Amino acid sequence: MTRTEFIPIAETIFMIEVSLVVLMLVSAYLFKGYFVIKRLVRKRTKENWTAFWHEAERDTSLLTDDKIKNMQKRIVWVLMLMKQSKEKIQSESLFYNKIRKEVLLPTGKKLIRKHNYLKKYYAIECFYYQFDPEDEHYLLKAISHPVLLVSLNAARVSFKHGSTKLLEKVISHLAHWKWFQQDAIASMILEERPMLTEALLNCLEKEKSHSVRTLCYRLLLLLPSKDEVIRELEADLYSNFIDLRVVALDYLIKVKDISRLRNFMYDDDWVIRARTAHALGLLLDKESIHLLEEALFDPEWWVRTYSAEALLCFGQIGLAILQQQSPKPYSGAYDAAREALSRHRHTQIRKRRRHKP
Amino acid sequence: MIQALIYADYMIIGYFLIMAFGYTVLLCASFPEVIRKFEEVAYGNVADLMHEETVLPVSIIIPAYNEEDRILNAVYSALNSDYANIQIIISCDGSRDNTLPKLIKTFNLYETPIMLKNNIKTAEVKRYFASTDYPNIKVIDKVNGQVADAVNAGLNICRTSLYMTLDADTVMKPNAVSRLVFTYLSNPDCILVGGAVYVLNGNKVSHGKLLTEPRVPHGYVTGFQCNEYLSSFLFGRAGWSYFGGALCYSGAFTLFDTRTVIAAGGHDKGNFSHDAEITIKLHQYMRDQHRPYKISYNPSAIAWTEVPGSLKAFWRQRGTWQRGLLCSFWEHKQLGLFYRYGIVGCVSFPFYVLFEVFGPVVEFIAYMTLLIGCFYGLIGYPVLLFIGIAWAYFVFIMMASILLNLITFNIYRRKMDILRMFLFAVINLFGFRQFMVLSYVRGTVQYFWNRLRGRKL
Repeated sequence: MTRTEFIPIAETIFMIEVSLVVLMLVSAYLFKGYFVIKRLVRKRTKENWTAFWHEAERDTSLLTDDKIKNMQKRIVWVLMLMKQSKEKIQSESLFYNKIRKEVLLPTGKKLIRKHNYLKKYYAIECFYYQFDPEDEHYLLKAISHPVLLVSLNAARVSFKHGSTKLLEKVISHLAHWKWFQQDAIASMILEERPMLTEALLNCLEKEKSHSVRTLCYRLLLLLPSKDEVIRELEADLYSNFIDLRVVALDYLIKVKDISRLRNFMYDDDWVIRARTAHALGLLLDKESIHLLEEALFDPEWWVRTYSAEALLCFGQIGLAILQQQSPKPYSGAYDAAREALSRHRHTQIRKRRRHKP
Repeated sequence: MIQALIYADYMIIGYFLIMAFGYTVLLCASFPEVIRKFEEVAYGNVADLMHEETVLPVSIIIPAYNEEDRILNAVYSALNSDYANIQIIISCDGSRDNTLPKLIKTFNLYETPIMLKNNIKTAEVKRYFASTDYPNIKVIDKVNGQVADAVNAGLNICRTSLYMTLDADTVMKPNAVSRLVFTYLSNPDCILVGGAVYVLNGNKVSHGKLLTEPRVPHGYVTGFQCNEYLSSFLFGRAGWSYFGGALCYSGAFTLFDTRTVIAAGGHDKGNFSHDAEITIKLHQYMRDQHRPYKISYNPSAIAWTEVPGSLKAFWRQRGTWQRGLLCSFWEHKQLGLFYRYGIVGCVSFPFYVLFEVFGPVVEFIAYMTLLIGCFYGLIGYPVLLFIGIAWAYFVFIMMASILLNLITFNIYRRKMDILRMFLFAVINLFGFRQFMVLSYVRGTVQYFWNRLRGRKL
């Protein structure tokens, strides 16, 4: 390639580069202008909607058919405004009733059939405020949606509005979720549906699946205690599935069946032994002190640690037992006692510091 | 010799063409991805609709080693978050300065006992603190390990299903966590969500908040890095995220699924680039387990981090990163060998190895051939043309990411900043890029040298 050939090529490349950059710059500003206009329009719409909302709250005659149709199209704004008026929506005012029945319910029914997850999510949010029992099957379908945002919220709405039958189905479905999803559900339950016991007890009567039974116990533990008799509890306490055993044991702790509880200090599984030791300490059952003292010699670290912690709950008697431990014949018991005593000392120091003026 | 040079040149041209094709595809993919994410949040954030009950708890783990000047800003930025359910775990990695005393004094920390059975083995945890003023702050005082070891120690006491890593020299926007969690909730089987990280240098920060509008730093070293971060986060990661094959998210600011990370063995404490390592590890772990998963990215979740301000610090950092990357890729080499690893094994892993890890080495060889060619008088107009095209292409890529920023999140709004970024993009290839390539090559040589001599990598 000669110099005369090179210069025009280089010039062409330079021109292409410059025009590309200029083109990008122009298109960027065009895009930007489009986004800015879009944002301004949305902002103005939002302001108009908010103003209209507040006016219509006072005068419901403003809610004409056209306005309602418009609201159905802009459901996100309606949902946001509903969220902002959280306290007011509880009231039986004509305005909110109209919004619930004529805007949210029809839009929810329409959007729940869509494939897009955001539309489904909006539908569920609509159902949160107004729900028609005819749509239970949609809700059940939404619970098994792979997108967590949809499924978690569908479960939340089911707990709020669902019938006992739906709840039983929901629980069976939720049992196969990850634990953290179940935790999220558990935290919703008390908020939305404190009287869930009936559905849970029905599930425990019928269901054989260990995961469903585990979830039922977990949820039952969260609800206000009525000490319901569960026929299959004994079988669950000796089940082959450790998760089920643990929650069944927790239920035993909740109903304070101490005499049955003590037997589990001799269980083969260390998780059960540790859990029992912890519970015996919390329940302050003095007859169990010798069991806890024995458990200091358990081969498993967690059992020894929890037993030492449980002994501390008994005050001076427990302290004396822990202080008596020596490195011989078994250093495990001594270490557990020493660690528990050190933790106890720290707590005492902190308490004293807090009480200082 | 001359024949060898010619062959090398042809190979370099071929290499450049494939790389340019790859980057162009990524750029094309990143535009709709970034604009989609932008539209998601620009006109009323859907995340605002999330009900309090569905706000899953998130732990923010902040590893800190000798960070007395910056740690408070990181903690305050976590406290300033608008997300309702946050636990903060500060993992003090054996700091020799006043990091821990400063934390104790500021947040009224008191020592408290803890029962801890290590899920992941870490260096010894000496003390554990809780705060009287902020019940959601916990501090671990541990023996010095690596950053990853400090994160693992935090992970051992993490009781939430999600956790986020936040570097001690990083501050995030108040809505960053809610946006990451929203992305997590709206993607099925999501195990990791990365956020965008930009350069903090040159901005005033107080109590975890940026006092000034984000601006491009004045220094050359930081200015060049500003462009680099912008293109890397706005088009590189967004593009890869579109195809589901991103292999590296910043450790400074990423959300993880706790159980999955613990099951995969936690962060690799022996690796300097533990962020790239954990992402690759999670890809491999999930594919080996035949479990569906998604690694996602949200460019609207934004954090700012300190970058090296001097050439010396930059030189050291890049060398270290390169060694870390090489360690990670060597450890997970089977990822690129089997068809069963899908897009990660077939496309993104080989692409990363070829163009990100060994890219600087090839570029170094290109510079060497250029020098040798000059020596033999072989540099003609075709070579100059190739250099011109390569330079024009890189400038185009940089410009495109600057413009993508401009039309979407508009991090750097001021006209002067945009002009300076254009300028840095144009002059990047005259000196700074060569310096960067050298630092990577040094890291590569060090890695192989240490490997050959059986030393610690």
